[in-house]
Amino acid sequence: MVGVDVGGTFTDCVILDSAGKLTIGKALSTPDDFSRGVIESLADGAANLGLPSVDGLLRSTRLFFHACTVADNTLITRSGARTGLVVTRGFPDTFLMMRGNVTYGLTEAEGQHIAALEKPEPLAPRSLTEGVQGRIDYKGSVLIDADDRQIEEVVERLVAKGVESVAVCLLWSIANDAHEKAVADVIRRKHPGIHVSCSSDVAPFLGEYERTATTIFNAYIGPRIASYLRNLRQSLADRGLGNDPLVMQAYGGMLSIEATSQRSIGALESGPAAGVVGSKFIGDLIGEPNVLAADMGGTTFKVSLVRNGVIERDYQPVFERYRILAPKIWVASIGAGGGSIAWIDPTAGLLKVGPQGAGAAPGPVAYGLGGAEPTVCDADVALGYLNPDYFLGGRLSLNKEGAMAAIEERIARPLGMSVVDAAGGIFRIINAHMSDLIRRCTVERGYDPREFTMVAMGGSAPVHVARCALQLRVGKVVVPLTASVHAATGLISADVTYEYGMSDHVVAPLDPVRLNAGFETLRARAAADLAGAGFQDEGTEILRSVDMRYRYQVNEINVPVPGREPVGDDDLERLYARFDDLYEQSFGQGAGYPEAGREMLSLRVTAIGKLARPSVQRGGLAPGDAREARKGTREAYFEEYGDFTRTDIYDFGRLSPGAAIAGPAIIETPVTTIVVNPNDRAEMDAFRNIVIHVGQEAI
Amino acid sequence: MTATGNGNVDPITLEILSHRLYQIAREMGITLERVGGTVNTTQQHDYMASLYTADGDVLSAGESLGQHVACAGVAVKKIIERFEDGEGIDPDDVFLLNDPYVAAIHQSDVYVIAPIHHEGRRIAWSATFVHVMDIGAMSPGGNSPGATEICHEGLRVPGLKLVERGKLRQDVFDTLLNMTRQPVMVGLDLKCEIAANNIAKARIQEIAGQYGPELLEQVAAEIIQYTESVLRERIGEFADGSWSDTALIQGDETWKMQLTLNKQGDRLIFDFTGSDPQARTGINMPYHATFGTCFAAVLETLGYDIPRNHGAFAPIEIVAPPGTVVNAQYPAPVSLNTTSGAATCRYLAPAVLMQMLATSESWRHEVMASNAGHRFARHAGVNQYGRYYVSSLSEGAIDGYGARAGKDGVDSGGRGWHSCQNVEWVEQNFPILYLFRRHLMDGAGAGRYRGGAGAETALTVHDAPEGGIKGVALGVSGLRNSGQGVFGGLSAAPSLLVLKEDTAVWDAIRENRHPEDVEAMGGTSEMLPYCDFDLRDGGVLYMRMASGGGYGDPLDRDPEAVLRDVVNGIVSAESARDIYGVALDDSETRVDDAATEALRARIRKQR
Repeated sequence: MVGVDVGGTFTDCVILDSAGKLTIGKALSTPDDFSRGVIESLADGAANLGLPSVDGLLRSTRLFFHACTVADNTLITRSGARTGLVVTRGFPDTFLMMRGNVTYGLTEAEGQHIAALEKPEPLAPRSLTEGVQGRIDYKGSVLIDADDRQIEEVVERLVAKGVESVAVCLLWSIANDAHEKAVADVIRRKHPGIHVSCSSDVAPFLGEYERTATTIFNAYIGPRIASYLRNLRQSLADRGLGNDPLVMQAYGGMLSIEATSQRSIGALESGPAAGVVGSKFIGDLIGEPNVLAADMGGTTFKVSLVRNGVIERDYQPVFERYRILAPKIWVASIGAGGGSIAWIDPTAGLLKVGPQGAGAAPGPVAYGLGGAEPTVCDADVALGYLNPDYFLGGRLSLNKEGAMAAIEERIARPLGMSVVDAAGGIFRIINAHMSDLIRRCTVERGYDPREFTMVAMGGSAPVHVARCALQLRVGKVVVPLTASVHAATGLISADVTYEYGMSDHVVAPLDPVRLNAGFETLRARAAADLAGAGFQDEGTEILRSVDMRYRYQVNEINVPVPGREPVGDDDLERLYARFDDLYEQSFGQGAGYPEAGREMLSLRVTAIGKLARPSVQRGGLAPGDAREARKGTREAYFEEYGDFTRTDIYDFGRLSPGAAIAGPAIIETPVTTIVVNPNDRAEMDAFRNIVIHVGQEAI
Repeated sequence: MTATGNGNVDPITLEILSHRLYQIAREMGITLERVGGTVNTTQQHDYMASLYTADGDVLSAGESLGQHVACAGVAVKKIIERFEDGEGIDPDDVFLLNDPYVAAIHQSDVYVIAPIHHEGRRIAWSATFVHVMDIGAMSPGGNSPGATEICHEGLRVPGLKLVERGKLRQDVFDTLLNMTRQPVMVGLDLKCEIAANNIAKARIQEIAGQYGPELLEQVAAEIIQYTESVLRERIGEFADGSWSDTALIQGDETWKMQLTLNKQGDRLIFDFTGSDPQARTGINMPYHATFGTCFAAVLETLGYDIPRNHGAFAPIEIVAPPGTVVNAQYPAPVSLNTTSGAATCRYLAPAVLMQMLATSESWRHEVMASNAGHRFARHAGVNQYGRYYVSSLSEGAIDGYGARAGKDGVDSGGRGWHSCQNVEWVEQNFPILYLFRRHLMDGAGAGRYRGGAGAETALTVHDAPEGGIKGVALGVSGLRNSGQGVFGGLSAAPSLLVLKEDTAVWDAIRENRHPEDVEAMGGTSEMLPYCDFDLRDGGVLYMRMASGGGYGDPLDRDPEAVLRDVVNGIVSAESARDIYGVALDDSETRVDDAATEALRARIRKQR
């Protein structure tokens, strides 16, 4: 099986062969036509596997998994379809009003500067917004009829303005979708080339603003995703791939090309989702059910969680400045990466790090590409953590003197401190920000960080995150063997997954008949889709759940409803108890208020088609000796000593499973640098991952 | 002058800990949202969560509204005064206070205050408020238009222990809830406040354990000193001067609020001399609320980028003659003030500061036309499921912002963190049907940079078992209550609430017509001042939100921007022509450049 992940810079490929051996390939991404980079990375993978051509590889490929940044790129560069919007008459500005939330998606500092606030340019402008006659109430009753002729007029007006895609979002379509369907039918019948997204299909949940935003996003990126996937399928088929590729979704499962073209919202941020799936894959491999996936690249630091083997989801994520009703893997992020700029707040005279970054170009001063502002990466060089002559396996040489000079000039001298203290300060501050984010993701949500294992992804993470682990008492940090192609690794471990949901607002006690009928509707759709994708009953899993909350409260909790059998009264009692437990777990003891009553808001069904895959090869562990892999020493700074100390440097490639290294030490790999702090101990496990056991002493 | 100037704490630790303090205040706020029972708390960010030093000085305001942060600081000090030498302040105690004649703004905003101890010594305080859904006043929801003295406005607590050494005083808790119409929801509100204070305690104790309480105290002193020094330095940049403005609070009667800002050296003196005597309705402000509002305005304009703490107290002085609307004396009622007197003050204080900002080359870009009118409504009754409820409509969150130097005001930008309810959410929970919700056409103040458009909505009763619901119209009313223009910009259309009765909306609906035009709905119309009202079957509540005032001469506005406003339904073609002097072609999709130039020349000549 093959997984290909198209990232912003690289297109990564992971091949798992029938013997359970992992092979990787890599190529530069090609934004003008991403499918070219896909083929090039396959070629690299094929070569590493000893195959003469891509065709040979594809002909023997049973399953092909894919994740791409096309959706994200479309959004970032605002190159989506010209999108029209059809709404209920009298409510033309719902999308523009954004519920008044002008600060959504902004940083704290941006939110406080009232004189500078703006709303984003809308993806569907008001000039392409049309109101249609018709009004449905909360019960689904039609108060005002739709008018077919008026619908046709509206559609023709939009077509005359050149729309390529139309989002239809009418009030209460979640209770009665007849009017939305009437609009969609007219468009499909008269203008089959126009992409149509109905809110009752894309996001059948209460709340017209969020539902509209979700439907517009879908309409805006849909045509672009559809045509990219169509081309990709063709070019892979031409080279011998015998079956259709499966496409990664932001919630962590796979869908067919057809399904993704219809519900393209799932393609947004699907690459990072694959990375989290990759972290879960590592967790499964080493037997750790609770994983803190920590990803630190050049610009951002991202955290996701796997709890009890289940990846945490966000059912109302914020994309850019909008809240969206499409499930995705839960991720929290801040502007903290290797490229984060260190600066002095001119009024405060305080050292600040980030959130602005130097980007890839000019990048850190040490890159020598013209960057003048000192960054986290420059501090990492100055402190001796990064090897100027072996960065990214020697592909880039770092200018240590330049980095130190920049820190001296811009930070140390103005603050009246030494270069080392300034670099150490940059290092501590960025780690503190990252620890704060991890704290927000765990402690603030009622989880104990000590129960998690941290998986470090992204080039900069293995230098920094062990410090966060120490701060939050996470016992173990894993730097996976496949760190450089982490998302692609996630791809080959994912299953086909369909998501279904519907709003159904009921104040407890719930009615089992109504609940079972709702689940049956969703299950029937799931069964049909799974069968259509070629899955037999025994290879599938149907998971049911409901979103509940206490009346008058705002937090919704997704509560599993185990089994496949119809729900009875006893099951409901257990459901309420499970909800109370989960609520306390998530929001703290006493946070719940059962006296206020409970209510259900939505039903959800997840349908999984299990894919058979070989297990990954495990190496034999030889006890302990790492001396063979020692390639020299270097002066590196550790705050435990308050000074530089002569530190052993190890070559990852020469370490064998079972090797153990006591900190302080540094392990260099072709893709990253792993810092083992003084009270920590690192070892290579049977899968050639580096596992750091973090000391328990506070800083 | 820098924070590192007195050099007790190294700048790196200082940065790390001041960031931590902000995060803790933020986490308290999130706890309020999660556990709270009131839509004000859970959806509209109408709450406060902040940290104080051992003596009650503001340490970190988090993301909270500035006026409350200041008042809660007063509340902490009053709790210290009342309890320190008497019953004592013990670890794990939690106090409650809501008396406007002690420290609160009005009774509905209930402060919960807790000391934080480390090894038996008090090292800090935390405080929260939420606007509880009922406080046992004359009107449901606490804002009582009929009240003529404070004793009509619900329960009033000058300070009591709600939790004693970690144990909830159930008798006290039950007594408080018993005096409200919504005991379940008020119970949730008080519990969320206790939970948020518990979070603050745990987090601060963690820092004290890790870094030592002395370092924490040094950090507190330095960031407060820092904020003070930055503000003094910035104030010092302006030439000395004095700027005045007047605003009216309008209910059944009209009261004047007068404010002169005297800038002397590095001090700002807000002088309210000339304001009217206190009223016999609850529009009055206690002194600390007036101070808090000025404190918030200074931070929002001159200190938006620095830590918000006690350092902002020092350069501010307030002159508020006792017995006036800005310094009410017992037994004047106050329950309406946050949406009348304080709303007016929230217009006036920034308005005089903006005049000062405009005198400086380096601050002029921060000038923003101020907003005065903020109106919305509470509603209560029996819903379609047969349950009694009290709630509020959140349309105030889709007010328009004032225009800025170089930028239009934000359309439906609202009030910072507040969030407007979805129509579907309201209709699902209450016996209400919306007829429309849209940006108001021609409401925004015209200007070279126009004000942000506010929203207008109309709603009627639907499926109400009792044939109607009760409402309270909130907010200052009257004509000069919306965004005021600056530098030749025009003012915005006034915000207003109109009650229509015996309309023909249901006839229209039965005939498959959308009732989109308020004039055509028929029936009677009544402008609602600050008052109670009944919305009955066939009645319509029309709400027009405030829009932002304009900045600069409308004739200087880019004609293409005017065209965009016409396309977006914010400016009519008539206003484009008559006010902006922009001529459009017949399709209203293109600017007629030559005609526009001629039109603008003619209007200029006529002036």
